[in-house]
Amino acid sequence: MSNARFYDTLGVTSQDLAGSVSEWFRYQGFDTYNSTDPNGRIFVEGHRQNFVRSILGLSAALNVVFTPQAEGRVLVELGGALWGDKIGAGAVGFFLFPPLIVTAAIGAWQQSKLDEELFTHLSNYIFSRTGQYPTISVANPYAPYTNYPTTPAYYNYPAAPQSFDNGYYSYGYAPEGQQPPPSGDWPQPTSTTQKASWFEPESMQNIFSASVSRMMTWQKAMEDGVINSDELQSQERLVADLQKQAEDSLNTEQKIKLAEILQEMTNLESTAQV
Amino acid sequence: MNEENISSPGEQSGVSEQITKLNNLLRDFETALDDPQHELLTRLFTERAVLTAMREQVKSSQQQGWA
Repeated sequence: MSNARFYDTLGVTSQDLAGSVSEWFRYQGFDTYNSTDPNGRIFVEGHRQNFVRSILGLSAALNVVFTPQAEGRVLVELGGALWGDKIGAGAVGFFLFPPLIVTAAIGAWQQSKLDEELFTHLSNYIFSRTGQYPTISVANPYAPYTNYPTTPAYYNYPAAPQSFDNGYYSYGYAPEGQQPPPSGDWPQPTSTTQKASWFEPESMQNIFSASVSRMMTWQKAMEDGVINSDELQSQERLVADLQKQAEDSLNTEQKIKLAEILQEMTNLESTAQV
Repeated sequence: MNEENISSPGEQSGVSEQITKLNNLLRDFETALDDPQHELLTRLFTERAVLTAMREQVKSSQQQGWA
């Protein structure tokens, strides 16, 4: 889940903005990590973690990406730790045990306040450098979250139409001043010809925990910021139903393997919660 | 006591081994599935992760309430 805005930086460079964000992170007590990709995008990651909290996915983390645009404007994207796979294999190692970040979505929600604070910092920084506040416009993602598939099959979605492709985020944003195409115009997933792997190609960690925040069930339950007992029970029923469907589709040997995997997942969660 | 000292290197190593074991099981399992099975299992594992996250959220909220 991310939050993005186009900034007229009034001549302040992306490098300067990234430097100020690094300083802001340090002032907030975060560790910070910067990198630049071959396309000139600057990644600044702020991370406040310790081993226990990182296992539970509750570490505070905020990643900021500066993508230079035409006419001196900059696309500023904020997101949680799920962006690790976009930063590159070197940076992925910065996160401890990605498959255990089952609650990364919780952390992302809890840190949502950081987004506004950081945007405010950027505006104030530009003001301090230029004497003017920047003009800002919200970047429109290609499709609203409600149109995302209910399973991580989105990994198999073809790239967004080239005319809208800003070459970066997998969902992408329409260029400033343009609306994204209607969701109905999106190409259909190609999962019939290619299975989505359960493993991230760069980190080689499984995708399930990192996919939580993108799941409709999670987003719906977290709309009010609280998980109530009805929502919990509903999810338990859904998982039980899916497990039964899965078992019905498997042969005996596969059922045994599934049981072993589910047990290992439970063991891992228990260990992480100790 | 600093929270960062709670988990010993031995505990971290144990978790790492558990992760490796789980990922190896998943890799073996994944290769033996046909497409409909794969889609169904993907949904199961991801919704299960959602359930775990929900439980953690409830627990976290309760702990904050007690604090």
